[in-house]
Amino acid sequence: MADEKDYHGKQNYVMLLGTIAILVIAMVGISMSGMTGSPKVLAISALGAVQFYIVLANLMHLKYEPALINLVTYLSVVFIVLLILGVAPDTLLIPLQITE
Amino acid sequence: MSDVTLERVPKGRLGVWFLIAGELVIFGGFIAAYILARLEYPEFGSKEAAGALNPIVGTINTMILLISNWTMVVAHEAALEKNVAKMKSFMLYTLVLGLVFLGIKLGYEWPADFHEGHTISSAKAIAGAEPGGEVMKVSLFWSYYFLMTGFHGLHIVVGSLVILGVYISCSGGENLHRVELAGAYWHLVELVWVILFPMFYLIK
Repeated sequence: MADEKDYHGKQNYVMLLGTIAILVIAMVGISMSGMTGSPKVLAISALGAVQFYIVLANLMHLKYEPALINLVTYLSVVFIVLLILGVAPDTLLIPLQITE
Repeated sequence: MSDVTLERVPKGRLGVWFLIAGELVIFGGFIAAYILARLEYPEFGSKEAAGALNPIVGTINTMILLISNWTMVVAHEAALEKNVAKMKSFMLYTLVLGLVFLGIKLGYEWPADFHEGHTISSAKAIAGAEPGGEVMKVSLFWSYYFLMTGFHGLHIVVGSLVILGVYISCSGGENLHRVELAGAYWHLVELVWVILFPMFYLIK
């Protein structure tokens, strides 16, 4: 296994990590700006999602892996999104009652 | 996606990917629970909850973790070039940066939160709290915060031990493919943090 041929391509990691650093700074900037409510949440979430993709696809080399590995990994993310979307209407429409 | 067939994927790499997918579901469950609770309780964004967290300290820790990811990819590239000395140096840098992250979290942030009376249960607050009242909801925020950042910290500890194990096993220039596997696990720690950081520190 020591001579295992590495099949992922050569990437510019400095550029990738620099992009993530810029996105982090942009998120902090948005958080500290006067922006409030849904636009702020959406902007920060979008920047977070881009960082998530860069780490998963490029740093972890998922984009160089076979289709089945991509499917299993992205399905786990889709499953969580479906969980949130499926339960959110109950959470938002039916007020929870905390009792003793 | 590449045109590499599944048969060509080494078993170790395949195992790590299934581990990562499982970890994503576990963290995803926590994250989903927090988001749903956050939608229900606007109190999570109050000064006593998310507002009490210091985004500057969180940003510093994020950058430390990001740099550690860079040192890990450099270690991986060095392993591909069979430059063992460089690989070992950068794995050690990664280890040190991981410990610095933990040091800030456990040695500075958490003690400051404890000092303010926030714990995973905040039992003191709950004892006098009105059921369903603001104090109890704020306490729930801290339960999520300590649980999720604690679980993430535990992954940094495990990741550090994995890197140390790989460092020792690869010292003689053998089994260098393990560096990439250890790196994939280390990047998972970053992957989760890019979600936890804005969720707790920036969205208030």
